[in-house]
Amino acid sequence: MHRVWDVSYDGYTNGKGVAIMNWTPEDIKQFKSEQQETGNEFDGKDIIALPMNMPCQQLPSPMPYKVFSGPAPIPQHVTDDLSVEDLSTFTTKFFNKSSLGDYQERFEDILGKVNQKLNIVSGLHESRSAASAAMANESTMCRMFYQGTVKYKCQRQENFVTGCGHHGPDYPGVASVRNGKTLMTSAAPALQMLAIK
Amino acid sequence: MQIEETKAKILSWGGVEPDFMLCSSKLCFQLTMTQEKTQYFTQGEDGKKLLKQGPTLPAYRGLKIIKSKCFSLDNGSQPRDILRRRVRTAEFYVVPRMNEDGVTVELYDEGSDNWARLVLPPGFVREFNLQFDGAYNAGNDRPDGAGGRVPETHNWLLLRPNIEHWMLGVIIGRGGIEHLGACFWGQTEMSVFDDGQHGVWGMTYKCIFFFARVACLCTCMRVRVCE
Repeated sequence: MHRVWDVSYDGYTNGKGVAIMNWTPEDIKQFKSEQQETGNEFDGKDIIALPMNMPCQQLPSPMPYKVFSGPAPIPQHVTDDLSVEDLSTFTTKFFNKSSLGDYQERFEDILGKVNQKLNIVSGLHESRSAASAAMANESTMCRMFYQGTVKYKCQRQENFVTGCGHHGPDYPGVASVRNGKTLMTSAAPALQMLAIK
Repeated sequence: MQIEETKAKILSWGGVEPDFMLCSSKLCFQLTMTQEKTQYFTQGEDGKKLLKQGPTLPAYRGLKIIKSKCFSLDNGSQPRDILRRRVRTAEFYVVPRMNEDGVTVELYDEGSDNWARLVLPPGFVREFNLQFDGAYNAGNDRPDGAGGRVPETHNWLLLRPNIEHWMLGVIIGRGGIEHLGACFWGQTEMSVFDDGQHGVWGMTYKCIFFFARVACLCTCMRVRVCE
């Protein structure tokens, strides 16, 4: 038997709204609390805005979670027994493709400090496999940040950036790839424990 | 694509061609409610039968379809299908400085199914600077290599780290005894507990099946509340 997770999109829960988190201690505390509560549907602020003054106008997609967590190794689970330990190569490629240049060090520094405050990427989240999370009715997070679709007007000039589109024309197969599950193709077969009723 | 990829993967591991797919009935809706299967008027008598019976999906791409069921897994909550789960994904956006005049940013709001303009909370930049010691909101000019400085574009990074939605999964495999061999019951273990104070009783039951080619351990647990 082979279990394949996330072959088809089945409805929106929350988190794709336009509420911006303020950087007050109360908002930060509430956001962390909501984010860590994976047993319930997410009900926190949707957007983290970072006034970073970046020199570049775009970043490569997807952006791996390692840019937040820094060099500390946090494994990403792909099955119950297997995890991807080394995302460093992927992260290096991300920075090579980006046009951050000299700003890269500052970029990493800021995101690392943001992560310290908000715990966007933590060992707790990454260590939850799909199987155990499904049994416990918890959501999982595969920390690949994808370019989203955005419209903005600046100096009377309108711009439209087309994103990867998590909720565009989803069909079996594509949704899981967008969801970062392409990592699973590198996983070797493993005997799984399966609960049968 | 996932089905064919899974078939190929099982074969590449030395397994046999799968013959069943266990999936949520919702996934069957998505496969049966296609234009080809719901054009009742263009199929004559067959169309009338199809309309009466509804489009069914006994098999798909050579796999027998078995629909998964919901089970009562947690006390006091609705039964759940464990092939359906919540997943959080994340997106990022690079936008111009949002606190400048003449800059407006719009994102798709899935809750209202419409585009919505972003509005910064009151005192947003001040609070950000307080959190990060004012280090990240300064101008960001850079040297031009000739002793001067050139202004850089000043962009913000927006993150949506918790986009949560439901996803469906499937189990694809091979059934029957032809390739798997006969099944033998192994050592079993059953224990019953009774909590009289809270009116709860239940039992745990473990058994080990021995197959010719695979072995799996399953644990079943039943909890009922006495009324």
